[in-house]
Amino acid sequence: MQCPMKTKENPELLLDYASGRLTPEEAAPLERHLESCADCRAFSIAQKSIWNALDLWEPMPVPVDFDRKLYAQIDQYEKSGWWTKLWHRSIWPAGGFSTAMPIATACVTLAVGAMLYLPPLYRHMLDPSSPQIKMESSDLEQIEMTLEDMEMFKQLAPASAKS
Amino acid sequence: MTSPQPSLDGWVGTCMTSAFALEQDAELMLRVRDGDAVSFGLLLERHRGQVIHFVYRMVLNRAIAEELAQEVFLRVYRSRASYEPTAKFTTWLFRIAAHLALNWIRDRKNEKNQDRLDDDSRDGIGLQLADLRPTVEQKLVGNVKLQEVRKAIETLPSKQRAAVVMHKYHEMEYSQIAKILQCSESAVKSLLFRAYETLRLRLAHMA
Repeated sequence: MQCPMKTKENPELLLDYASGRLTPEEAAPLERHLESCADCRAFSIAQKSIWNALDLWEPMPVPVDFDRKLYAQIDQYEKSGWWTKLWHRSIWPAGGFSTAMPIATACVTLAVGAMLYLPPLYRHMLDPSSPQIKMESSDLEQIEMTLEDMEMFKQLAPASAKS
Repeated sequence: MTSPQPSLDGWVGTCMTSAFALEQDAELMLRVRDGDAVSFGLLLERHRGQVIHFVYRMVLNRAIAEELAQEVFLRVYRSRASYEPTAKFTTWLFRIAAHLALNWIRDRKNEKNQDRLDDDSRDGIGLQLADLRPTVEQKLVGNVKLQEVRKAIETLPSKQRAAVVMHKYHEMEYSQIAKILQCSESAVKSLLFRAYETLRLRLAHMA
């Protein structure tokens, strides 16, 4: 067989061999090759030792109240409103946010489009530095006076109605 | 005395058993789609451990792993109405788990970076989320070696880590890992080669 290390044609063969995933029929030609190839032999020995070292890491035990907590969350979800359910189902589906990205992109495009193509008449409304939407102190005073006048008229209204 | 060879009957039997298990998962999920809560419980029973172990080995924190594993099953439940058995159930399940774990790792990395920018003097100690308390397994095995293995895996880039965990601890084929990580098979092989190379360098003294 050709050297998996040198030809790079089937390099995973060595990984599979070290992890014991090859059938005896598949492993036999590789083992013959290993006898004559120092590189592959060194790789294989190192990979096997790593494979064994990784076995030291045992899995964490399953928490005893895992199911209870999960079913509590499911109950909470079932009791939530239709909007929340729709949000979870369509915007945040199980595999990721495949729907969310196009929606976000569409919103950004619309916002940019509005900024670019809005008639100049309305554009000042989006610009906080525009002088037309700056409220000067005289305007505030006028508003205060108007409100006071309205309050006064309100108080006077019943009296005039009686007379 | 000759070593026992796997018979054709045994091989066919194994294949039929695994095919049956696959169909059973899809069948159960279709029943969940139709509103059968018992089938959801059975799926949970069958895959709970695998999901928790995968997420734990990705995030290296028990509390976070539990939280994320619950989110995986919650998403399965929420998406039941749109489930179609186009791929293996476990591929779909692990895609959700990998997505959540990789996102968590990315967000934590961002938090750490932000913290470093905000306050150089703290050196990220306050945000160190890895569970450093010695567990029972660590006390029993003793050991420094286990810590070294954990540390070596922790330093792998997140996608390499995911590929190694699925390859080593969940014995998945390259094609399934590729579907879960949504990349090509050759990309998976490349990820694994680089990951194992890093591990060989870091854990060379343990050989």
